[in-house]
Amino acid sequence: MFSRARILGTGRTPFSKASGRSVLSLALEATEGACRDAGIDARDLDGVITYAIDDSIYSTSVLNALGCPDIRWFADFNGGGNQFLTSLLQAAMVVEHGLAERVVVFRAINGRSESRLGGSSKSIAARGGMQYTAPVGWTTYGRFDAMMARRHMEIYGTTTDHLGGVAVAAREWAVSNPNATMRKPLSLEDYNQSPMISDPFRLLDYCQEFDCAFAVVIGAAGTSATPSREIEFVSGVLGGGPRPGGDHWGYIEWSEHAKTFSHFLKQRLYGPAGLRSSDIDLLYLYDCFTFSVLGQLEGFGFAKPGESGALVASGATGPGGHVPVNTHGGLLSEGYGHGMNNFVEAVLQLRKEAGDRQLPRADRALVTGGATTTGCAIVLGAAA
Amino acid sequence: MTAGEVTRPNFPAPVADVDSEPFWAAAAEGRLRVQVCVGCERGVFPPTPGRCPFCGLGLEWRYHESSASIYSWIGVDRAIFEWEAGLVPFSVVLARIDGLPDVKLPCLYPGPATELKAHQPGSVRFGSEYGDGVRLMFDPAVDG
Ligand SMILES: [Zn+2]
Repeated sequence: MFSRARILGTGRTPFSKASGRSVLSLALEATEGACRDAGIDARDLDGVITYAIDDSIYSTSVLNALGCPDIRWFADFNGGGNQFLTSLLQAAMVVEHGLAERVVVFRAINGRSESRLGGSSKSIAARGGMQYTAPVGWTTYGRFDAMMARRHMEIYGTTTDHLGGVAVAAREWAVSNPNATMRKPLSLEDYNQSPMISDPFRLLDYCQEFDCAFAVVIGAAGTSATPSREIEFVSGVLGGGPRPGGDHWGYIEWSEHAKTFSHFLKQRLYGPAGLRSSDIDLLYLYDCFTFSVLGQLEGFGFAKPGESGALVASGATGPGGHVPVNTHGGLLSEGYGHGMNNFVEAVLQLRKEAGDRQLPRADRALVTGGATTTGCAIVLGAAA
Repeated sequence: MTAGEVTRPNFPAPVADVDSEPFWAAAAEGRLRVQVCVGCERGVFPPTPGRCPFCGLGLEWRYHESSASIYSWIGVDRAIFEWEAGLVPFSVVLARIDGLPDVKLPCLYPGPATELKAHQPGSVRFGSEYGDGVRLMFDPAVDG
């Protein structure tokens, strides 16, 4: 879809429970790593984009700290998983149109030690969309997604074992990933013994938050040290379905909670690019919760409505399966990098640099962001 | 939260705004009042200052019967916040109002999720027993 914009490099910090460092320090480590990976000087960055939910730093603080002399683009998205890929898609558009030449997208959080998205604050102001949800206990993203999961279970007969299958498959991948925070093999029995949190979600239906930072540098084709490692954008779309809610917490009016944003993006994602779901070798589905994967397998056309649970139970999404999903363990088992770690793994696989877990067929990867009513999807391609 | 130290449930009170004031004013009197389209007759919730999102015509506030059924629901088996610890396990019901299928109301149900089932009939009411202000409660029909 873009003739000029390419992914030039990626960088990351390790996941930790208490980094003991500032969010800016984490962001700089990831950004400098991405520039090293691309073989460019960090001071030549001229654009920066990030996304946050009141838990990180302003975008320009990174270029400020690096001393970049010429700032041509910056943007700060107020959003979570549904805006992570938007940041990357915008960076590609900015480069494609020549508004900036080398844009870094970063996400940096002390997500375990300082501000947990899963909710640990003492108070909630029941305003806006929350005036209808917080007074009855419908708080936190997990409880929202659990409501969607239940609806899917009641309509299609999806079971908690199907949800557990997603967690088990993620762990099977993570076992061979040295970056993963959770590598101990996991059985369906282990899953069923984990404590119930937000029925039908057990503890292992949730990803775990960490302190971490990730960065991706997007620039013009042929400008990295090794152009054969540059990754292309094949297709990319952003959106949602009708009545997606008015704020981060408003999913009341969504027309059908058994469906996710993915149903409404599929045609635009595949059609103009002449793609079919069978053209996708690898899937990086935003997996803050297990159900998010099931909903997207159906929405993006890898399973018919109601059949995603059986697909996962068949082993198709795990190692050796024909629909490999989140080959590093995803947010569920590698760790919660707010989507960026899924993107970084996609790039690694497409470059054929994933080491022990490299898959032989790795030319097209679908990466998604979002779990509920709105989101983004990008198909990445290995360098031609 | 320390184990064994159970506090009285005290869920946050809803903070009304200009758009939602008619809903909460009626709620304080124990009555359900929602916006309904003057053209297509579909119900709209949460309250909006805009037009009907389905057909673009105007909306008017109407009082409505409280009978409803369960559209979806979750159980809260582990408390995250202090104000809810004393009620765990409890459930959150998304209740669909009879006659207005587009209106789905989040309600509190003070029992475990295992007591509820899909499409279960019941009614919604405004209760004040679990915190300041009023909040929507779901009451399953006795023979539900
Ligand atoms: Zn109408």
